[in-house]
Amino acid sequence: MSDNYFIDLHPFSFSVRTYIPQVIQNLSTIYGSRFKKLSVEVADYELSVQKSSGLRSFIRPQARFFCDQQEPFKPLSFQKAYAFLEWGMNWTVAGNEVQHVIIHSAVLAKGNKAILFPAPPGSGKSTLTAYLAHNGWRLLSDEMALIIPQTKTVVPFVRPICLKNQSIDIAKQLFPDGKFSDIAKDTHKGDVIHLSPPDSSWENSTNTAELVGVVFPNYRANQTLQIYQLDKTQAFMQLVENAFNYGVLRDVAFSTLTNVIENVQTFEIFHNDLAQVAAFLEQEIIDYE
Amino acid sequence: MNNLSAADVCQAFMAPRSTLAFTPKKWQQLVLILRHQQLLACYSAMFKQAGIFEQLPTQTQRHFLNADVLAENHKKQVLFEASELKRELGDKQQYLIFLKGAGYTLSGAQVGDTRIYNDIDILADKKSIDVIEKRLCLLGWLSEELTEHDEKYYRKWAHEIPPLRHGKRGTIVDVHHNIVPIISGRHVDADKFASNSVSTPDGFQILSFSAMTLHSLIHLFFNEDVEKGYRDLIDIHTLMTANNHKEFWLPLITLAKQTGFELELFLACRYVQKTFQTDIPDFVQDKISEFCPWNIKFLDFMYDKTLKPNHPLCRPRFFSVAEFMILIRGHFQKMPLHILIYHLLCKSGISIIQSLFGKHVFTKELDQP
Repeated sequence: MSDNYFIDLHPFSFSVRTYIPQVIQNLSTIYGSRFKKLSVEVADYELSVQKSSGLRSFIRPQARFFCDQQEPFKPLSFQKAYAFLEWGMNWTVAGNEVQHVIIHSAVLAKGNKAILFPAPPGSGKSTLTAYLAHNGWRLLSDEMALIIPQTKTVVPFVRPICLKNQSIDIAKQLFPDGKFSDIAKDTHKGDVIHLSPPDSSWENSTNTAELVGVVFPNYRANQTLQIYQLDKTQAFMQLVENAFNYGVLRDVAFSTLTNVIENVQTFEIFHNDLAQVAAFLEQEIIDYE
Repeated sequence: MNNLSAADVCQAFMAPRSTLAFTPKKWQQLVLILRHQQLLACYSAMFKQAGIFEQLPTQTQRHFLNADVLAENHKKQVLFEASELKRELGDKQQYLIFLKGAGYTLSGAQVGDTRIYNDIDILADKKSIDVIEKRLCLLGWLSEELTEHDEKYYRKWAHEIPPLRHGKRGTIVDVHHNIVPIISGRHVDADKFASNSVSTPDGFQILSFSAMTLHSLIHLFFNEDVEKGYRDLIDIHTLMTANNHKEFWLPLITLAKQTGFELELFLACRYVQKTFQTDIPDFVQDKISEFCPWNIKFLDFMYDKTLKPNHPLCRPRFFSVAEFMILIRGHFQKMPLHILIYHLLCKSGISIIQSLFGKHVFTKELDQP
């Protein structure tokens, strides 16, 4: 029988109904004490992950995701059940929450100064995120940056870092003590693993930070660090392309993102050395003001 | 009692202050039920009107505020799509009337204020349907892949062509040439029905409030699907309350008689009154009381249960029995027996296989979740 669990992920909360051991175990690894059996808590969204029924479930079982009564996606193979739930959580927030301008982007901060890292898959964004989070920065978000309208303030939405393909081995070498989920094989992003951010990120998961920079990272195996200052229009357009709810918030999103871009530094970087990138970010952006 | 009942949800609509005693758990359940019924923005407006919005728990307020933004955006999107359709199809047919949700929104009346719906319905004269379909196809509105049976159903028996989805924006348009399926034998003279239309200040053609109400109640009571029945009942209540005068009621009754949907009008009045105590004038009551059917007890059993907020949290006993009876009744109304049997055989073949092997036995794994 399925049990109900509760995950408190400031500023949103979820209840998850499932009996799938893989899902329960991974949630417990990734979210630690934030994940518990549901008792009196009131969750924002009721999610559920179930094994599909029928004879097929004995031969090639599938996992199904529900947000309350709604099943937004077709099923995925059973071994992806946990990753499916993580994506389902993203979908739920992206589709329902419009109190923030939400950018598909990582956010990391030193003190209360934060940098946005919007980037397409394959750019090495998550590897950079994992590296920074384990080297003196705190993670506010790996995939969804929540910006309070008309400000430069980012609200943390701390979630695991989603690493793909080759980055999985790199991350396991770099962070031998990291809390990793099981690998979900052959997803639309390739092989995928989730890594829980270090304790310092979790401990500050209710502390907002102020944006001071927007950096578009690109990992290139044969490229030593190159830095380009982006002009404001280019940076703005890239933010718009990465915004989940730009079309819904319209003028609010436009003025918020314009205000952000006009008041922060904007760079595009190409690199093959994470430590060099960290040094650049700290010297040129964080310590700049 | 710890759980929210369907009656609590109805009561919250009529007397918003009744919610102030809710526990956090009940608020959570209300939000879940309303989100499922696409009524969050509708209730949000009620709470604001009652002046108690600020007294709601902060967490609940956020869900309502989210819904407000989404409903506002929905409205803008519909205006955009409707303008596109009007511009592109303006000269292609005798009339192009926006029905149901889109009609409510374009009317600018309260009924459309917070209404969320998945597709835009238009009514055009039958002769122009081919031209319209081709034109929409050129503009990127394409029919989705259908089974052979469904394709045949639409082309031969239905009152609409298969839904057309815009390849880029994802919006769906349903092009109708009648208001009920042709095969039912109850279809109306569409050209005549279309004469009950008005033009909005923005130049969109919509049904007059009387015809709009009639169409709304036909859609609810001449149908096998009542999943959104409670929301549809709110629409009818809102339309009747906002237009409570002779110039609304008399044409509504006349039109119901002309088109042969007197029973549906009677049922609509009966259940809005039962649920929301809608104010319906005595002269209307007198006129429609003669439409009361002999099997009203049977209909009460079905509709008392299914026109309530429909969510697993608050379903009454025998809900699925009532729902199943409506499914049967709706199908019988829409199709003659021999066609119904054929239709059900085609449909049940697939569902038997699905129930045996799993709902998604035919579903190919899609890589993009």
